[in-house]
Amino acid sequence: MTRPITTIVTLMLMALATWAQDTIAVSQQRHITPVRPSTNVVKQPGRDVSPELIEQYISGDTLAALKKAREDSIRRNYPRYPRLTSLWVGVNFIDPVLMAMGQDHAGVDLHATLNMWNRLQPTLELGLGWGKAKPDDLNFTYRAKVAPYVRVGANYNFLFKSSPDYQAYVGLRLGASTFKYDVDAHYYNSYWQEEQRFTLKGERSHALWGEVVAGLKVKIYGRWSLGWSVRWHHLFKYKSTEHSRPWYIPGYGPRGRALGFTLSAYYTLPLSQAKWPQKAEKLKE
Amino acid sequence: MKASDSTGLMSLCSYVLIFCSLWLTGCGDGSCNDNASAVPLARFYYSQGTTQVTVSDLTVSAIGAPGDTVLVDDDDVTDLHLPLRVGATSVQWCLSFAVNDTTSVTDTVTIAYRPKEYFVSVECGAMYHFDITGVTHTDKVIDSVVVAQPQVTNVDQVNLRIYLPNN
Repeated sequence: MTRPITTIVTLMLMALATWAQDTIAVSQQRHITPVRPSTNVVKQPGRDVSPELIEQYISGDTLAALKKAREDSIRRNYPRYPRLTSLWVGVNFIDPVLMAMGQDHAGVDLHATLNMWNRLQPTLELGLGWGKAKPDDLNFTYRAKVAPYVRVGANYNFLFKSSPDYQAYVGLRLGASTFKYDVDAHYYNSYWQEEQRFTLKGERSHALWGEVVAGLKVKIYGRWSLGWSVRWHHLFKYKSTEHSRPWYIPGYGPRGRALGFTLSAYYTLPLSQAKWPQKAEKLKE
Repeated sequence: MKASDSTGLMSLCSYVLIFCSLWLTGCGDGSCNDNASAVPLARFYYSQGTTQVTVSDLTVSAIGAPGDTVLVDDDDVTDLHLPLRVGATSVQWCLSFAVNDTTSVTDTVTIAYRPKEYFVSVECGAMYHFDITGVTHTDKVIDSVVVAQPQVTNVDQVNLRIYLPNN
């Protein structure tokens, strides 16, 4: 009689122990958010990923494919243009326009710019300048003969990631000119009532100056662009003669003026176009 | 060319024209900041020290001036502009100092110089500059005359210092 009771008690104790063990184990378990089936999908490759790359990934060469995909992504976001991206030639025609509106001097220059990496742009500007001043209320006529000038420098294009068709840049220039001018003057002294005319003929001078340039260039049609720039310039030196100081310096403008402005038309020759980033090709199309 | 392109080009042209107009109209007032002619400036001082003097009832005229024109007529003077002839290399100026209401004492100052044609700027024009080569004077009243700046330009600066006795 005692044995069955003992057996029952033993079984009950074992059942209790098992229950207690399960309960404690459950209470010590971490709560884990179950994975929802909707998020458990295969991630599709991006639109720009090439089929070859997807093929490479599927074939098992996942690391190399991922590396290549990352490099492609960087190239798309940070496009690198070839060293010789393009070359453009332009003509600055603002002065003839202003001369037609009444300005008393003009300069026309041709410039050639090499676009390197769509970022750095060494440039050469060659031009001719001339002028004639005859103020109504003053006593002279100043004739600046046609004279050459040269400016060399470089631009830095801030839109180097974008298509070379559009540029926003700053740059530096070094300019120089040698030139001649004549002055015819009429002098009158009211106290002595004396009148004199004199001519300063063939006054010869030269000048050296620097410029800080900020400009824009935009595509108008095909390979044709328009660009304009504002230039702050500073005369490093110029030659005064015994009888005069020059008024107009070809390529610089009137000696006392610190700002210049250009308006240019450009024709662009693309170079190494096959190496241009794809995005730019798309924009071009 | 698309419509948006032509609109952009139009607005670009508008900006350029506006800028051109501002450029032509807005560049300085075209005025000369210095004098429009080069005239030597003489200033009076006491012999001892650097104190400026205002001379009362001074009369100034040049020998040989057309119609005996008087430059200063019985006026109180501190600074004196003495115009030079470009057709000559010296000018004599008579300075008459009033002693009392009826009497005056005259000194003559002779300025020798070299005139030089000079184009200054578009704003100031062309004129003659002068290099003063020497000054002589009589000494009835004037103690001495010193050439402070021999180059006479259109910049305002004292070229001659005329020293007078303290009394």
